[in-house]
Amino acid sequence: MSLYRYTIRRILQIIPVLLGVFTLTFVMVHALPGNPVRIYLGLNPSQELANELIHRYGFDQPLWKQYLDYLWRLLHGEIGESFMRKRPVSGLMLERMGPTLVLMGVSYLIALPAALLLGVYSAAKHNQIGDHVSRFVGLAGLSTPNFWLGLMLIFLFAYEVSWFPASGYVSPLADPVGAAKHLVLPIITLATAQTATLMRMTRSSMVEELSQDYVETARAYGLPERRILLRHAFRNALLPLITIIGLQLSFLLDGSVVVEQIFAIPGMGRLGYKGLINQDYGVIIGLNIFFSILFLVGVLLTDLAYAYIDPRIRYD
Amino acid sequence: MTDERLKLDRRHFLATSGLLGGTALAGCSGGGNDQGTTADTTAAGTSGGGSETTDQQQQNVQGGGTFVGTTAEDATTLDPRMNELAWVNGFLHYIFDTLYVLSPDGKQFQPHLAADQPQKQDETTFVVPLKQGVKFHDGSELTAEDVAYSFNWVLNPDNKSPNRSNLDFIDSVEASGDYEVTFNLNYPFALFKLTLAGMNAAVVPKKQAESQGTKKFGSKPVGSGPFTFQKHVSSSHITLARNEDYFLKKPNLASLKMRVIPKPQVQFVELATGGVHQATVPKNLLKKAQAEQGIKMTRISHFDYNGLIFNTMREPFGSLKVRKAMQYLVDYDEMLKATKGTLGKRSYGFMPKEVNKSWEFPWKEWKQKYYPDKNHDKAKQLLQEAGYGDGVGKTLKISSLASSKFKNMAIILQNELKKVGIEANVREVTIGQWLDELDSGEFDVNIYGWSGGQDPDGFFYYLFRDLRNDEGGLSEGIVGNASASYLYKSQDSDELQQVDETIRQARRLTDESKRKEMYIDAAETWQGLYPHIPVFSEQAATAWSKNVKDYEPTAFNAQPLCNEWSNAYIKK
Repeated sequence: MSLYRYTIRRILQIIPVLLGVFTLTFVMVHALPGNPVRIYLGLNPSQELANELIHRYGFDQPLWKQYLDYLWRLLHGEIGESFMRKRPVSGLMLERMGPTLVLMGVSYLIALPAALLLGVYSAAKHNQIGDHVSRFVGLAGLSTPNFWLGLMLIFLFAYEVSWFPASGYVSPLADPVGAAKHLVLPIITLATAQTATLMRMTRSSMVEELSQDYVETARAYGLPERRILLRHAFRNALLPLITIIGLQLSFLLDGSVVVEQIFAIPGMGRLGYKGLINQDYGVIIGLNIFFSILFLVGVLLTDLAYAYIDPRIRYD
Repeated sequence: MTDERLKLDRRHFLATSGLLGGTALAGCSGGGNDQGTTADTTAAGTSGGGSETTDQQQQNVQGGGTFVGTTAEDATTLDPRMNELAWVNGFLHYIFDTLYVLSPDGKQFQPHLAADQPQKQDETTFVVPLKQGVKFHDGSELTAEDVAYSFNWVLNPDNKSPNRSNLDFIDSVEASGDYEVTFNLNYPFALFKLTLAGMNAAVVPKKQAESQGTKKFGSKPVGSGPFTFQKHVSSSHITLARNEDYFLKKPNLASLKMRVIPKPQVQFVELATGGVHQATVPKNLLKKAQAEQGIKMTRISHFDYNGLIFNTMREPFGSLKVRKAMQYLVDYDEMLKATKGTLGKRSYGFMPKEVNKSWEFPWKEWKQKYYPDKNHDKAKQLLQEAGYGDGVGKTLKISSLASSKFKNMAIILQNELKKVGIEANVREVTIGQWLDELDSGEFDVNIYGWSGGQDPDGFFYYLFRDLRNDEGGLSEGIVGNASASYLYKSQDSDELQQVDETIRQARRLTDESKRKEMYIDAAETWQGLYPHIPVFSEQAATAWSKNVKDYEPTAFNAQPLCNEWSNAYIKK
């Protein structure tokens, strides 16, 4: 099968997956106790108004009917409306997409090369002091919760030494320098765990490759260590890593919720968090679909990257 | 949860109480007569009250600067007719005006858009003269037609305003002249003027509101307040610019920016590092804030109370003796200490101390009579008498919202229960679950919070009336949402129905001394039945930069950056 046909087939596979995501999300949010009207009106509401709103938004309809209505609207390109904000979810997502994508994108761009470098270095210095230090740093990075690290960075670098602002977001298009200053601490927070995870994966993968016979053979032929490490072992070690790299996207999404909340970044993570708290069905479903698409695209790109890394792979 | 609501926003609940950062900016966090404890770290004293500036100050005042405040929560709408969030109600005072405002000490109703106090025609008819020459931000003049439209729009059931029930004592509002409105009330209402000073009674321009429609007006509001709307970046900030034609005076500040910063710790760092001018200080950073040069801090009391609520429709709490035993079981001073620490005060009589004091309720007698000290032996004796000397035969369910404040209270109760042989599980729940449980009665003990305002009605009418006697009664599947409702259902009696009538009558009287008697009667009946155990009311520590001059937030002071008493500016 050609790469072209494979890609088309994989894209078409996304449709039933998204339908599954929508169905699961829909059932799960409706299975939660409480409803958005009740949360919107708070304690001691007017029963009359509560009943009116429940009827108006169709929450008194059978679940299957609500599901079909929602699906119908979804097929017509309407993601839904935020009950709390009385605004289309698509508009809310568009407003917040920029900060989240910048945060995730830059974090990944930093975490990935840093992790690969550290991982390869650590493997090359297997069981030496450099390896121990790298492993310790990696373990510390993995074990440090985002919310704690974020707050510590704020107290250290914003409060104590005033190097960076404590919170907020500036668009890189409007003010690149201001944006960079505002992004340093959130990106360190978000990238730390990513770097640590990927570094440990890279290291173990590389250690395994470096113990293979072909590496010994290459060394016996007198190939330079640098060339063995990067040209041969690293390329082979990349294959399992690519799977992890794609899947790590979902962890980045998780992290962005916490980081946006701490650093007051008006992104989709915060939108989702508030949506969950308020059981704002439209927001939860809309964001789940969006993030699912992002994740599925990540997985697709991962699969396509296999061919580039290892030409032996065929798309049958 | 770090989060909150407002003195006039009675229906708002404590689940979102962390929003007080922003509320404090607007001075509307709901406080009593608490004078607060302004902590000036350089002993420079407070910045003073009046709006007049000296010649020396004049140079600093020019330009005025941009005041940057903080709030923990984003606004969902900027239309006061549709807004439910307390901090937004406080903030909207900068965009919209009301007929009256409360003085900073909360003691006087000052005519604001009104030219004078309401003129009583009969028990239910009041004429309010309006000031002339007040302009909306679009340049049109504010007239009686706009005032009547604003009220009648909220009252119209078709518009589904969540604030309608707050105004439902009004039958209609007529424009009885170009600059005169007549309020026709359904019944005499004790909180008439207080309501007219709140954002539920904001005046919007009829023409703009009608042409824009509710959704658009909520995102691009047009009012007559000291600042005009500029921009709302969702979850990031709201910016307002000076209204050059403000009817009171020209605001000194050139603009006002409200930043959404969810974490109070981060708000504090922003304040300390000059990123913002105002922030809420969390309990664990109070000392740090006091030590900061350049920051002033005050405590603003909330008009709320937090306590335990017992499900009287279930055993064992159907028994009065068991409920009373719960009063003996716990040292509630310790509970306050373990939850809010110094940012709270013990509550008695289901009301905050400030309300008890300002109404001169006999709360000290109540304290003696209904709030005995911890005594496990007495608790055990009461449990024995109730037939639960050997435990209650089940594991009790204590529900708590997922907030450290509520959870700590639940855990303390759980520990004390264990000491008298009663097992209990603490269940942390989401807001949706919590409200569901309160509606359906699916709990044994719930940790509860309520913000009722500075009038006893805000507590007794909303928490202790029999909901079955409301027009339309209770909806199917709902047993109530405060334990008073459960008590009515489980132990209904002539005495309880009499109290229900008292509570309903009290809000229809304007004679304060009679009202006071009625509330004492209601409070004593309810306290003797122990449906709730009130524990404490909260305070917010709000701090601001000393560079902000002529700014002193209080619990009552609407739009403290620019109002009848102040006109803030940023010192250059």
